[in-house]
Amino acid sequence: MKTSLDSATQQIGKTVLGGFDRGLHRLTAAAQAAVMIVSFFFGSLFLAPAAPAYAQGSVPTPQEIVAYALTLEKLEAEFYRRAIEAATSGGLATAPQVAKDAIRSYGEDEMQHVADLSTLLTSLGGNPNSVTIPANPNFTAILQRDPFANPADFLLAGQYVEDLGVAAYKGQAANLQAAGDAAKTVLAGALEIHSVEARHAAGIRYLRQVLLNADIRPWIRNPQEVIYQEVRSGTPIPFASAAFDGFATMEEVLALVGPILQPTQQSSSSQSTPSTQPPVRALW
Amino acid sequence: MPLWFNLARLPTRELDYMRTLGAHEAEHVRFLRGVLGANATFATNQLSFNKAGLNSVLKDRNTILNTAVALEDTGVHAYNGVGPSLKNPTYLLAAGSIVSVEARHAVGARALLQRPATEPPSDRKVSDAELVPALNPFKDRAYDELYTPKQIVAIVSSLNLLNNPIRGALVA
Repeated sequence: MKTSLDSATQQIGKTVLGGFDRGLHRLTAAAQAAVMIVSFFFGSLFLAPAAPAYAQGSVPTPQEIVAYALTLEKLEAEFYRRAIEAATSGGLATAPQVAKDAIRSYGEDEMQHVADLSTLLTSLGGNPNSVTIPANPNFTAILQRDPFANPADFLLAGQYVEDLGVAAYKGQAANLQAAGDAAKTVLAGALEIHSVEARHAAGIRYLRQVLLNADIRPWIRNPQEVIYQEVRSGTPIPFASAAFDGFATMEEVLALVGPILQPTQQSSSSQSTPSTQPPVRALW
Repeated sequence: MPLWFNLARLPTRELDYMRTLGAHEAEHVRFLRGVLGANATFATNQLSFNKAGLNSVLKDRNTILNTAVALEDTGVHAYNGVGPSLKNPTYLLAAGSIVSVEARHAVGARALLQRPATEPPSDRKVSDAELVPALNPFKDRAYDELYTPKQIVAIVSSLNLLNNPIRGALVA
């Protein structure tokens, strides 16, 4: 696990950035600005422009969607791995045992998702080892401060991450459906994960309500509780209701996680030190 | 009136959660009735509840919450199970929009009971051997398996809450 997380290759640029380029023309001006910021980081990371892998407006293939999901799962698994470290000997050491148990349990689930999506991606002709995240993702971008410094910040960051994960899987269901019967099992697998991400999100929300007395519930009562666009118009689905969860497109999700996928810079020569970046929340 | 009698005796947070879950489910019913239109096979007021069954699941806090977990977990498996059968992308998105809320409900009830957020295999009402392989590439705690409509009807029937048979093309 750790090994695959530590090796960065250019493949992610092809897999993930293809989605960016395709979506650019559909985004609002504000979102375009966010995407351009992210693209700048990727450009500096991979030293080459993204391959225009897909025609504009095309639907991502099942293989592309699984690679995208694997990217998110690797990030989540690394997020919890870092949290477990902090719970052992860092800022989360004082967290109540119920929170530590959740961190360990959810982290194991995400590692299981990474393992199984890797196998699935191989079966679809892809290479899971070429789907990589930086060795040291910039998780500071989520809140614009270290999310592992104390239990309150960790749980808030975890809520953002898990709720976004739910919306990300939801946003790809129809794309997998469009691939027809050949992708039926891939869709089934995505659905199996989607609701478990919702369980994680709800579990973290419950801990915030009970341990921190936060004004939050396991479900989403207010669009401001999440970092993606929870409410949409032009659809018969009443997303404004707390009884209906929103979704996020691949372009929107990648714009949000782009700053996290930027590795934490060790040298001072880079313009992309974490403290100068807007928090993820400000990107939409 | 056992429903209201018992709910009123719940502690504040439990009461808040049960009221919210009920309100959300009522919204789901309204939405699904809107989608079904004249194709709905029954009206809500045609449902006949089994009074003895209802009383037994409403007898105290823990029984109420454990029943909520059973219903919500079953709902998650049910929506997941029909997802791959849907042809209309809006319907699939709507099902996804609902199923993650059901999962949140399940976790709310589970958390009040100090039960884990995710469903351990020992909680499952459908065994590995009974799962449809093509619809369940992944199994166990990190996944919410896809149950067929027939499997869902068998689970719901076993709760003894409804006198009506559950009909429809999918369970014929």
